[in-house]
Amino acid sequence: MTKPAPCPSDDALLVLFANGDRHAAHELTQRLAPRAFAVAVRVLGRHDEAEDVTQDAMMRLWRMAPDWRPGEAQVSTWLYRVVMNLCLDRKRRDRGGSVGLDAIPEPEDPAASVTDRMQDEARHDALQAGLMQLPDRQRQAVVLRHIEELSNPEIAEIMDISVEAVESLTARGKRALARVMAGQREELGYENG
Amino acid sequence: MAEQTNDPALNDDALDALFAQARAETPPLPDGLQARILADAQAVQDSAVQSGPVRTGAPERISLLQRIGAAVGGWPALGGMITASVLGLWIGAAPPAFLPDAAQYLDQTAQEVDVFDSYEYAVAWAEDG
Repeated sequence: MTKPAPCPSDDALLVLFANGDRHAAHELTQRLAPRAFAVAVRVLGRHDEAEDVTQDAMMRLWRMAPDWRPGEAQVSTWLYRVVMNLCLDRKRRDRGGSVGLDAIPEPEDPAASVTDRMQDEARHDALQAGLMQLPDRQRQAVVLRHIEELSNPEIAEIMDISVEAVESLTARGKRALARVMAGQREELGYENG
Repeated sequence: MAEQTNDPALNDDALDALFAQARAETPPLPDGLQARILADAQAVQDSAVQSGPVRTGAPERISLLQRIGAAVGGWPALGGMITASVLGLWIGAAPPAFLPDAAQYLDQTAQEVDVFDSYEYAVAWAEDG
């Protein structure tokens, strides 16, 4: 009885890709692109922009493949970092270098959420609306920590800040999120606190 | 029964439940995005094939001799330098007849030479100015 072939690591797949293996590109795309897209949607709040960012980030991965040094870093961490930087660039470009109130989307109308959608969807939309009211870096840290469930050292590497700064950003971000979503407690089904 | 609170903020449990739900709802890749990503990958691979072999990611090791060879202009230049050095050493050790033998000067000591070996010659030289 033969053992199934071990699943190659992202590192190994990237080396295979650099050597012309077409299947490696397919495998890496299936492993990495959905997470990159999900994070970009959470951080940007727009599917069309998240789509562009995901394609751009994956393109940078393909171009970087010949220079990748296996074992020095995780491919997924590298890709998260590229996605986050591309998202920040877009946010800065959209604002023209300053934070304007117009750039902050209004939260979903709670009444509409209750009447027109299932409660799960209402919660999903409310969370996204709440996230969009956080400053960019706080939003990134909260998404990476509480939705992607990455460790603080990983987030520190992705955001190029210290672990202490990550702890501070996530704590402040979570408190701010709790405040901005307080008005939607009933609609979200959390009437009692 | 959940504890009643006057804190206007959403509590940690409620937020954690929202995060958990968000994790469970990973949005699918939009139609066509995977195909575009794979088309980009193929284009990068095709251009790499045209521009030569691809590195494997392992650091390249270069020996000291290779570095010296590269610094002086590659193996042809290094071969010329070695040939010139050997020829110079051979000429020094066994010079041809038309060249002075350097070896005979090795034990030569300083010698005092009296240019003005006679008083008369010195006077004549002084008078000529």
